[in-house]
Amino acid sequence: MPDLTLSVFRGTDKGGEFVEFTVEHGINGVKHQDDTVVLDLLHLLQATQAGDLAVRWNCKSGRCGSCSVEINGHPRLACATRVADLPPGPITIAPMKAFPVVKDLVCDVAYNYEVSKKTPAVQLREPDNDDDWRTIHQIDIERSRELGRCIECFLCQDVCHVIRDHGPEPASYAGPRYFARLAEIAWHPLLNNSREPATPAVSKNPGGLGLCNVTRCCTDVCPEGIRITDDAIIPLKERVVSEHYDPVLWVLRQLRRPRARDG
Amino acid sequence: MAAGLHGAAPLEGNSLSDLLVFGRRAGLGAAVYAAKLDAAPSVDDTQVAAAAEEMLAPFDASSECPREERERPYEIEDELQSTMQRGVGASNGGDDLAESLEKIQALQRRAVLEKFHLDGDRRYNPGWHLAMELRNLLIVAEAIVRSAHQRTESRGVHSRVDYPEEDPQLGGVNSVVRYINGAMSVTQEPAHARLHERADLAELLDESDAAEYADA
Repeated sequence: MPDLTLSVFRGTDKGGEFVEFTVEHGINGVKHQDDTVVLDLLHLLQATQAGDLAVRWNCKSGRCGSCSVEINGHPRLACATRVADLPPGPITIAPMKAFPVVKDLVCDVAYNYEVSKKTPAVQLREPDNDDDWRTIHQIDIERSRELGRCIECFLCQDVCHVIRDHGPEPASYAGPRYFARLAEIAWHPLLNNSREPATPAVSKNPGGLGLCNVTRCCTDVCPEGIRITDDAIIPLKERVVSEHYDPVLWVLRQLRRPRARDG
Repeated sequence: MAAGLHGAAPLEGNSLSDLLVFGRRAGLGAAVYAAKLDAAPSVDDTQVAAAAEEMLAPFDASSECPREERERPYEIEDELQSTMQRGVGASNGGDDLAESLEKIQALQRRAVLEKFHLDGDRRYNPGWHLAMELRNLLIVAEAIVRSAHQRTESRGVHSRVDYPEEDPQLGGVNSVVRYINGAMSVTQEPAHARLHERADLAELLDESDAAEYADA
């Protein structure tokens, strides 16, 4: 096996450049034809060539969502990207482009936490009977579970062209991670608003949902395999249409209103 | 610090309950302590300055240790890991442990902050963080090896090739590690000596447990 060439971004918020490193085959037990992942290479660089190389990481098993970087231009988890699966040639490792760089591969992802603060408050829905039972269907559980698998690696936010091109602006656009959360709540079988057509569960343009034009990039990069586009964004868009722009429903709501007041 | 309270039980997952139990106890204790104070305690500026100076030593260009003689923190970490993996894992004998202790002590002499060579500056520098962490890693490693060396039996995950059986005598003692002024000692002390001070805990034991503790 030939030696590996890595091109790693080194720099700060003031700017930086890509620095080339060579990793010899077999050094420190790293044999890059087997299970070596990109994070192993970064740790090897820290130990042998660049002790101050900053990279955020934690679990090394694709569960914590910390080591999000762009590998050969693709948003990936460094711990879940096998070197053997990459095409031959130099490997380029860059910080997530959508967020400001703190140092080297570490970004300031505060935008995503600002966005999370917009998550609407929820409460347990009324019980189905006097015994405090709430019946839920398996299909509803599966949907919430799928969306709830999110590990907040923010790769979907990084790849989203709205955030990438226009900057992380919490006030105007919340991004796919937020839409997945919103959908999880909107269809959660135990929460309020889940099956009440009379009360809109979502606003007319929640988190700037209208700006998303469904390119499916977020679904492509999700390391948890969440179908963000099909199971969160498109259903949310449909729900916005049916709850706010459906003329039949509008008429129904006008008819229901006085009755609700009497009740 | 208390460790090993799970006795011979395997360690997986226990730390999660430890976090909750001891986190709560530490928080409650801190709150009681804080409520007793008349005023907020003041920080000793000379201590802060001394700590900062010590931490910044590896960056200090005027350090007397020449650059080529300086240690790299990752090398020491790597040697510590392989020492612990080879000599202090499952199924080792007293010789392995004694040899490991010597290696750890040699690493302790090398892991001095002002002797480290570091790349880069203070911002988000993992090499620097490791350099500061190594001292504690080495203290804990020494405590583990010394405790394992004086416990001449096999019990649960502690398994010695030279003492393959459980020793009932040692079942009733705790290994107490003391680290005072840089010198570490291990003594064996009765495990249940203080149970009588905690009637609330004694109540939680069932009859057979209670009989066992009463003997100790």
